[in-house]
Amino acid sequence: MDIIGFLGKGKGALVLFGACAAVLVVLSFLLRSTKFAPRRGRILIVAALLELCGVFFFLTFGLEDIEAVGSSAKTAPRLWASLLAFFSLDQLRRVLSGDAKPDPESGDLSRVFRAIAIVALAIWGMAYVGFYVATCGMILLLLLLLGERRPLMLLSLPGGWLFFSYFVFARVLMMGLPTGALFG
Amino acid sequence: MKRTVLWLSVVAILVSSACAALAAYPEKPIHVVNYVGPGGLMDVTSRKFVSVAKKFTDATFVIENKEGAGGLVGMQAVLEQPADGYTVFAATTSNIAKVLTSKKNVDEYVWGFEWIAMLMKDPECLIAAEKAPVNSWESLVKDAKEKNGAQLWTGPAAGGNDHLIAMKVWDKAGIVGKWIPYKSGPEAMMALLSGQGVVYVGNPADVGGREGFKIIAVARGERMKQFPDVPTFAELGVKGLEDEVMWRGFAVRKGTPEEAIVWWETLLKKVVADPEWRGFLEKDGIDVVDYGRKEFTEQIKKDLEDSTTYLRKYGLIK
Amino acid sequence: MELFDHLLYGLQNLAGVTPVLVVIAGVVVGILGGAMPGISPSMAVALLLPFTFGMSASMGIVMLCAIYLAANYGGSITAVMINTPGTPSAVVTAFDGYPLTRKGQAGTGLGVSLIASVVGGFVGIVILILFSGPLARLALKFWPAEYFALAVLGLSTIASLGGGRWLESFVAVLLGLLLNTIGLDPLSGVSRFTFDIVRLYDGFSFIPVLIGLFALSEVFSCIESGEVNAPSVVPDKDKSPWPSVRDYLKLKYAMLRAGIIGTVIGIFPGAGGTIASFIAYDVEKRVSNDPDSFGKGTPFGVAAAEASNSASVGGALVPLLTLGIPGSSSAAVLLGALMIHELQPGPELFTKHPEIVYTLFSSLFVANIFILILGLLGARLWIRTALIPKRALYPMILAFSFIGSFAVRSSMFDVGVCLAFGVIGWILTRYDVPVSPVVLGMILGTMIEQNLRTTIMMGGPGLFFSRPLSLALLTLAFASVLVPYLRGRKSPSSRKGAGGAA
Repeated sequence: MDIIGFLGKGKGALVLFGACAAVLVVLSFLLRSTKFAPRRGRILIVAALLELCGVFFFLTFGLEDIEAVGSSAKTAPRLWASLLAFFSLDQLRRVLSGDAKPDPESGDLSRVFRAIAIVALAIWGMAYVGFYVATCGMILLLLLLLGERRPLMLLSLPGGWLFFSYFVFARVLMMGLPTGALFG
Repeated sequence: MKRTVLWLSVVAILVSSACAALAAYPEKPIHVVNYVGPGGLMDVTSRKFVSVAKKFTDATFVIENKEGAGGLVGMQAVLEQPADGYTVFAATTSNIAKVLTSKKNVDEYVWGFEWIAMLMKDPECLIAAEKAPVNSWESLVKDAKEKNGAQLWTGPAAGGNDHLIAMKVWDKAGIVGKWIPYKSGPEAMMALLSGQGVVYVGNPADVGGREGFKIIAVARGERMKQFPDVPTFAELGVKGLEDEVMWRGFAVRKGTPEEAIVWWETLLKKVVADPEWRGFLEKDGIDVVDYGRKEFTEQIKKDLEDSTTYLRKYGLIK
Repeated sequence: MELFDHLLYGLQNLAGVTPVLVVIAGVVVGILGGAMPGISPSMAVALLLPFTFGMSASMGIVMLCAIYLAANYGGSITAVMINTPGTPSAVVTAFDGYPLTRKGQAGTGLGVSLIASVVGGFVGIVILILFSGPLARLALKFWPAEYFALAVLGLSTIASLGGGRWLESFVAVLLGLLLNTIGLDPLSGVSRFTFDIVRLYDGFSFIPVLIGLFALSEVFSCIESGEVNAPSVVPDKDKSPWPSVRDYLKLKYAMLRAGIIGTVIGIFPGAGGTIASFIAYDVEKRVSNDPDSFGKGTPFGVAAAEASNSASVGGALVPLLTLGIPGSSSAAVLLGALMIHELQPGPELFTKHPEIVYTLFSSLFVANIFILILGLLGARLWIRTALIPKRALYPMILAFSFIGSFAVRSSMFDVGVCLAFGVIGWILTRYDVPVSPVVLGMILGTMIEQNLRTTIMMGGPGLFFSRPLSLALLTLAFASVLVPYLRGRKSPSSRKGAGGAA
């Protein structure tokens, strides 16, 4: 009970997810030079799903049953987790028996990761420089990443966005987007 | 001596600048944070309040909607803002019960606020379907005894204010029922109409504009002007349910300057005296009140005490 | 006919410069709002709600209804052009709309979605006006057992949606259902898998997840495949990009069927409109001579999806006007708007303020006509989106996604959620797991769980089978899963068929 309480929030949750991620990394490493290497991605996805089922199922033991309500909060998560595990295992069987297609060929993965990093940076930066500056910077960086080099485009898109978004969302719709610590 | 003078002047400057800042309240727009979406009950109420208040003040109000977790998200958002009186939480009774049932810290989520203005008391009542076999208090009690615990009561979320009233009624009248929660009050009323339960716990406004419903008892000291045929619980022989209400009101973060609080209390008195405001609420059988900090805080204390007692008694919290 | 007199009276209220301008403004705002990734109809209505307080009650309602209808159509534009359904019910529009655009037939996708929206809208309004009474009685026949069965029927459509990839679809839908259990338990309020984060108490907010899974994942996929630098698909210059009247006429039964399904299922509060669009699409695929074309860009798929989701607007107004209970989140905002103008929605509205009701009905007709006119003009503009180089378009999509995700609950947390689901969606799509069943699972999860447990609390699981309506719906759902499964077993070759899900 206590261990579930610990893993269910704060640092414990980080430990839990860290462990899950570590298992995936190790698994990926182990599979590298086996005959399953061409289907490694599919196996990892199934493994991640199984981990998810395991974690959810495990955490349901920490849920409290309230008798006055007359129905348990545990039923649904357990049902879905079990069914998901069942179908994931069936999928695993297909992958291991060679029934499934091999992994798709990777494209320009590093560019995707850089794009994700830029987006994440913009979300993180919003707390400091506010929504408008952050999205402007994000658009500029993404344009550069995607190979846009014409100065006119590099200036007009972020600038146009800044003008447009400020006018429509802040002035007309009064949406109260974050302005950031620097300008708040 | 020199030092004293220095200190005095520092204090003087601080005080005067503070006064200048406070005297000007409200010098910036006041954000009213709703915990429901646009069109929700508290949203409609705060927008109406603001539109009436504009007759008495030049202050700018901005209505915000921070939905989620039965008000916890909105409460948290207000508590994260500075305690300067420019962010106001628009609260209802449900928020208090929510803090308790989700086991949040009462000192933080309830007493982290200064409860400054209580606008109204919406009396709680029992509503039945007009054409159903159970459509009066007597038939309800009889049916409850026959079903012995299997009588179904409909309403919104378990542990909310309406569920709490149901538990109080069960306790005071010596009957047992079963609470079937629906996603929203209106959906629970639809369920009542389609015969899924025998009674719905709500407020008189719920029957307004809808057909096929009948209020069978109201938790009020005396009968309502708008519904003179509806008996009170006391008349039906059930004591201890004379003042069960759903209130709506405003709260600010603890530590808000006195001037801001006084400003709100004064504004409230003016709005409450306005016929437009009274008409808006009274047509639904709501009692308009102008409780300031002191009376509002008393109400919160009573709510906390009652909720804890009954939620514990029926096993919803430990 | 008394009814026509009333409607004529309502129309008279709309004659004049101001009312027409109000309708046009509503339609323009609605289409633009709907076309912005992440602004759902209910949000468009909610954002504009404060502007209507200054108007008279009937003008305010006219404006909001126009926005509601138009935003429902507007959502299909982004679904077709950039694979970003602005609303859960437009998810289905993207199934065939986006493949059409990729094939260089964006004109067909846009044209069909517009015409289907308008036709579906009319079907919904006509049914609303003529049959709201009987439909309300049907709504009252639905107990939690039936709601559960309806949700299961909605889920069962994935069996055919996924095409040959039924196993992946099941995995995806269960993932959606499992993720949906995050948050406070709808019945007991126990906090499940929230890791003590208050923002997770209501689970993942829907719109950010939707934008992430569809828009962001598509952006990431295209960056990976290098398609982002490929030249845009330029439509054939010699041929008109727009479908002809004859093309539209071919779709008339599809639109009618979907319109009726949309209205009838749209009356059920909760997920009516979304379930309706999935079921309408499923039905259309089943009656089609060429079911394999579904998911690869057939106008029939777009027509079914759009007609049913626009018709659900009429459906959602049925319980609002007859019982005072909103049938959708947008209808809930309308209810608030009525209350601010001190009008009580419900049957009394017909007797006390018939002018409001009939003005509302007439305004829906008029708004629909303006959607057609403005939509035809606008489509000339939208189709140019296909000409914008992707490397300029994609950063803008991401920026809009931020706004859409943020606006739902004014929360930065949701923007992060959007990115996370973007990455998840990209990975899943890479390995042939369709994302639309995840969405369906997340929409229907609460409905299934709450009604399942409520039924058991009310009288045990026997109720599912002793209530005829529930039994019928469940049997139908069961059959629709079993048939493709058995067929799939018989002919393993059919596994190759790509699913409808993008």
